[in-house]
Amino acid sequence: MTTFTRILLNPQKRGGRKLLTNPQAMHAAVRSCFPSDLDDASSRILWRVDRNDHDHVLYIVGPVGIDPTVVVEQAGWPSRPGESADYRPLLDSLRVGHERAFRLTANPVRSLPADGAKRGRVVPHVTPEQQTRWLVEKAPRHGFEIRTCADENGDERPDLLVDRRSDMSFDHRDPHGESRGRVTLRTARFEGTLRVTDADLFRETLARGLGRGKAYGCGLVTLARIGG
Amino acid sequence: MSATLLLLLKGPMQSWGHTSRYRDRTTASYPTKSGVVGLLAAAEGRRRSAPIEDLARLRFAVRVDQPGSLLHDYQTAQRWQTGGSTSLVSRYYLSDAVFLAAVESPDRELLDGITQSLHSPRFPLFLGRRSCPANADLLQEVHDGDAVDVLRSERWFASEFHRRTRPQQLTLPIFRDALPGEIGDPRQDVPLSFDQTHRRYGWRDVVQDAEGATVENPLGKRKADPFFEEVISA
Repeated sequence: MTTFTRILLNPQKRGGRKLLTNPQAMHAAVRSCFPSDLDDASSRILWRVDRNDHDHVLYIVGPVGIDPTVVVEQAGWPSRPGESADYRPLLDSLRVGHERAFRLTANPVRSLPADGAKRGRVVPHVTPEQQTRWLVEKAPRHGFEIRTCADENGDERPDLLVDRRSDMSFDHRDPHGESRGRVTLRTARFEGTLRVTDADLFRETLARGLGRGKAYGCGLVTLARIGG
Repeated sequence: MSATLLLLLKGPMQSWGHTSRYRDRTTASYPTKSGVVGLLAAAEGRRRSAPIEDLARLRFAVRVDQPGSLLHDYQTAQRWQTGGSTSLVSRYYLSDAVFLAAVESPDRELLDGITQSLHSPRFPLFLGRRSCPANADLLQEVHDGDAVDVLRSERWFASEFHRRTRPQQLTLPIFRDALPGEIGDPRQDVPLSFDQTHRRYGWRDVVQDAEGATVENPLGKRKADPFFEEVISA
């Protein structure tokens, strides 16, 4: 059962601050809400933290039922146990042509070809224009398109807002405690409206994420009613 | 038919001690009965050693309109004349809190008499501690009805700034004296004597009212989460 979970985080708590400032600690905490024998190869756990004024909300999408108390006990409020819902009805209801508002925090990058190497060098997209183009071009391969709207001059432009662009940088440690260097992620938050073009592909996007950095809070697309 | 006198406790700083000992002067998170009874006694001009049984017998309830925040004041004092050791004192205050306190009595004339003396108090009035002067609009009216009902029907006194941070509908907690047979949170804040040579306090049980006071807040935030709403309404 694919689940969608919402947990309110408490930044005044020692554990809450740790999770909110260290994506790797958050990744571990979110992972431990799920059974350890989960097959990581065939499924994906996605999460994202939204900051609205003083609220910090953690969204988690996972392939099975979740035990949110692992996170709530160290970083939430005992009176706010975390709300979990079956994601399947929403996924099943999606049809081609459906329009929804969405929010996505992603890690927009491209790969530059490198001489003599098998794989290219990954560099981030930096400006809002580059990041907007990245998502607009990526959308069709993920089963949706960004809706367009007219700007002041009457020109059509994507109905997309890019904000909260930031650089995340933290030490990566393997389970044996050895530091394996620094992880740097350039993230951007996208808000806009989309239209479903391929329902099956889009379900896959919602359940498995979009772009890189999925372990560190990127790639989860959440939907809402337009204007709601 | 009982009557209820409402007091608005809205000073910038308040301090309501009920467990303070020695150099840690703590504050409760809402007003104590002893603090409010002391304020009424001061208004009537009773001396510290005067009897206060009639005031301590009044039924008491408090509504928390705005919880405020805890302020810690760390003080040091040296006896520089004699060279004694330094005293360290921690005083705690509630800053920016708003409470509505209700005292209930079957005897309306008693409450009207208290109202008269609050209009022209004999001694200065303060909110729990001498350094926290009472606000000018302290005195509200005497209403018919029991304390909890009156607190439920009275308008919300929180500041506009505070209203903006709260949801559109909320419940204000009401703390009241326990009814006979009811079990509550025991507190030693019933004044038996304010005599400075030997202050004495009795126990009462405090119960948080199950319903509280529900108020509408047009300035409040819409708390619904659109993303979660979408998932659960699919």
